[in-house]
Amino acid sequence: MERAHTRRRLQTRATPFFLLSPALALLIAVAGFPLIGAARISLLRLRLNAPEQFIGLENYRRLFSDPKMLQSLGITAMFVIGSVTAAVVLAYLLALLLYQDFPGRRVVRTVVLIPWALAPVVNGIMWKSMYAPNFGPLNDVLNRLGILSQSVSWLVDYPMASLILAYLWKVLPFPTLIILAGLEGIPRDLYEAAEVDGAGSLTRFRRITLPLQRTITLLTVILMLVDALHVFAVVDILTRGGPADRTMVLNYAIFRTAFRYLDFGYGAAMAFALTALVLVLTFVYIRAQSEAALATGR
Amino acid sequence: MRNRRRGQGVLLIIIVLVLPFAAGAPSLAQQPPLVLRVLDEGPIGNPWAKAASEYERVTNGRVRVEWISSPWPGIQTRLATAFAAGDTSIDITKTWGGWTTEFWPFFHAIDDKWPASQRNTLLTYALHPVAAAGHIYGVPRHVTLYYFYWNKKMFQEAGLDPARPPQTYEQLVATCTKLTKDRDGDGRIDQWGYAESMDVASPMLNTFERWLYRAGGDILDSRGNPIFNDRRGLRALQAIYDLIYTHKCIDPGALQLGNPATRQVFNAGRVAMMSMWGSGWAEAQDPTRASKDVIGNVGVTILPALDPAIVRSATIHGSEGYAITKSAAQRGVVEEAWRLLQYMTSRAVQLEGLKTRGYMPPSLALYADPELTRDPSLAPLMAATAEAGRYPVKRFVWSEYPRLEDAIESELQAALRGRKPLQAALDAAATAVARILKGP
Amino acid sequence: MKRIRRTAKLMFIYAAVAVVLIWALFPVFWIASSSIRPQYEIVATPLRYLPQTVTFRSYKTAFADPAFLRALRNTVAVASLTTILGLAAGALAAYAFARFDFKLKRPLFLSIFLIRMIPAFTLAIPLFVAMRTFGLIDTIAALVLTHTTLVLPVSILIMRTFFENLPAAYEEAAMMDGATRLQVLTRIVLPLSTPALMVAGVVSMISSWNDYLFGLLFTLTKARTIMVAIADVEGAFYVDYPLIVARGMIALIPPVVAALAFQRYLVRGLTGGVMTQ
Repeated sequence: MERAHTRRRLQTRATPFFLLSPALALLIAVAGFPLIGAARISLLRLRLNAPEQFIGLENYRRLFSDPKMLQSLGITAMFVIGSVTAAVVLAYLLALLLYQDFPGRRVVRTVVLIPWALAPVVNGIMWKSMYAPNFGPLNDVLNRLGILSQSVSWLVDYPMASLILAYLWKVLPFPTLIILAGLEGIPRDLYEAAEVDGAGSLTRFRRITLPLQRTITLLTVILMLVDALHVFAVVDILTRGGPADRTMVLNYAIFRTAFRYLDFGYGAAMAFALTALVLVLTFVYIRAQSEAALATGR
Repeated sequence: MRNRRRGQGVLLIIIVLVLPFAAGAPSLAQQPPLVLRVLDEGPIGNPWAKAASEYERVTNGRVRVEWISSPWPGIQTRLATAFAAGDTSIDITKTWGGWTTEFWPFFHAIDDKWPASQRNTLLTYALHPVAAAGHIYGVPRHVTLYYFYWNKKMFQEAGLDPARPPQTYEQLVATCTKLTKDRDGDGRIDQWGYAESMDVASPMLNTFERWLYRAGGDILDSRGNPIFNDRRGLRALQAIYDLIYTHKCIDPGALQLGNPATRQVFNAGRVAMMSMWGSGWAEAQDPTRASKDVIGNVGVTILPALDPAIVRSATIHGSEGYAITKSAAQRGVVEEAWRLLQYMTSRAVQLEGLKTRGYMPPSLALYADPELTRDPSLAPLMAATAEAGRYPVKRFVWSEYPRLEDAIESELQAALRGRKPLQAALDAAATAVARILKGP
Repeated sequence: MKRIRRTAKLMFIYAAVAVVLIWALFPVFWIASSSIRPQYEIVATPLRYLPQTVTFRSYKTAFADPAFLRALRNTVAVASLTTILGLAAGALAAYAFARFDFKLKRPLFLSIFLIRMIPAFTLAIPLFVAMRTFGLIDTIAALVLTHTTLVLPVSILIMRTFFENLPAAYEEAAMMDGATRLQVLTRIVLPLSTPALMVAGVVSMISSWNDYLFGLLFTLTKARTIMVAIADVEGAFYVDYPLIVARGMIALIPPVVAALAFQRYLVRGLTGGVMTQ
């Protein structure tokens, strides 16, 4: 009896690790070790045309004296805040729409996924064509609607906004899907009960949906934050960080440093700095969220 | 554990015992083919890839060519990773000046394959992009230079002589303004006089370079110091700026147009003149790419002068080619790789590249070849190339090229968007270039 | 009265759906129409949205290219395996994080998430070395392992959030009846969380499908994937955009079909689940 009890307790204690083992094995083997390798690279002066040289934290020190770094941080912040805010708000609207029951819903739900499945390189080519000065569809449509009277060179005059739009178009299905799944998880009878009580749809959204969706919203924001920080393909094809570095988001700057300038050590240091920054941001966000939750008593 | 090792040992013995018999067996008499791995753009419409697969047949399957293809910007990423990770899977790679200057420590020098007598058979600066640090690493596959294209039909419509393209800056300005118009009368310009690609990255630098050399300037002086911010550099940048903002005959949107998009608008008959690589000519003949109004109506010549007193024209000569890697040398397949490259750059292949895609042949003899100079679909292009060769300018390439390119380009973009005075932008670019060249 | 309100609501919904469809489909329509016409028409004045001259040259070229079709097959295999492996390993791990308290839970969870934070190409060189050491270059396995690992943190996070939102009462009841943890997970938790599984599945599938970097770096010819194949006609001096776009359109088919299948499964899962009883 005693022994069976101990075994049971041991089992319970071992269970989570048993459940975790496949994921952990993969993560350690395929990401953990390379991560250590990358950390080592960040301590080297690693150029192709010279022997590698251990330089300690020199690469990290260089970050602080690099004026482009600060500029890039600001640009990254602008891109991330702009795109994440827009993505979460639009995703909510879209998810609420797709949550409604209407004939043809399944097809529409699939169709809205198309942008996400479109190859990133094709997405880039597509938006480059959409934004074409003078003869692009965006200029043409706005001209025909009488919104514009002259053609606009979108990528020259509004590079950041154009980039955010092109990025948003492609990733929007991602947050929408998460939020939609969250909505599906809320028992419908809750709404029905509220409706019987005479609550309007806005009240129902504020009183039922949002509170129940709190963790889902948090999840969406965090995932989008990470995704936006790692924006690459659309930058590479539309602006390559230009014009005049106005869209040089950090992730692209890191790629450029490592694979274009072949300065692998500094590139790795930049990557770790970016990672640290994201971690801090995420922490702050989660902490703020939980404090807000405490304050409202939820 | 011990059991398994014993099992392996037994297996090994069996293999060793069986091997001589297997090797003697008739089905295995043929040696496995020698595999050469080539990293390049995709095989569709690629004359060199086609030649490489022909080579497999020519050698009766003795050599197999594995074509590792990627979009061309991906080639650089792949090379960087492969070399940094000590990879040995690539024998031959596409290269050009910007890559050779970075990757040459991983290429195998083949100076002995290029005796002086051989070098003279190539067009100006054709070897330059496969050479670095005093050595030659490969074989040029096509040369790259800019031409001036004009649409004769649009010239006629505007009352201009279609046989006389502009030869000076003043003439360019005059024709350019005359050819810029609002055809449908909706208050918006829908036909532009002239187009030069000024997209972020190399198109912007290339465009500036061409004007800079025509102004008599240079990027660096002989000791490697930046001098493109002198009065000649200013004159060059001013010339571009004026075409956009003073004479308003280049669409400011050209700042976001790459070379392919520039060809597209020209070949749709929406721009009357452009500066472009040889591919502009091939596309202007291609009914899937050029409109009926454009096909047969395009002329090609050398670039107009900025100041005839300085230099009549200046294109930027460069080339693309194939380099043999050090790992190929370690594998002992340099001779085989060289033979493959000889086949891939033979006369027939050069001709096909020229006809289908406007890839200009590196071989000098072809420019005097009557078969080509008399071919009406090629003659103007061949003549323009020969003439451009009289004003040879080497395309700017230096170690740290990507960094230099980005530094210069970003300042030029700022200047041409009207965000910075031209001189200030040039000075800032020169400071950045000097800092990069000094090293960390 | 109620019927009128319902009709009005439906009309409003369809109006919104129309806006959404235009947003999602207009750009795709524009390039799709560009892919079946001669290039000069794309920039004609006035701009025409439907082709004047229709040509399927690009599609014919794409389907006649064995290397492209092979890349398509490879990618279907990589994405499916990634999805299955990612869901299996991810669901187990997510359940552990959602329902257990154990030592190192927090640091473990955060370090898993840290892996997702680092820009993927930072791992490229060390990972390349590792893959080469194990002889995995140019194999599908290399890509499945890499993609699964990179998407795991995301799918774990997604599934954990949804698992935590499930009422624990069902599970406790089942445990009372003597079910093991694994049985609880497979018989109760997973059926209840079909939406979460679908999200995690689609996320895994699409991020594997969209990967260009590792497909570029870890393959030569045999295991080449679609994202590398799509744009390989992009040369420095000659770019065949219609062909790139046509290939991109073809590459849309498998994920869209998969998404449709997922939708059906989702609907069935929901109606068959405990929630609606």
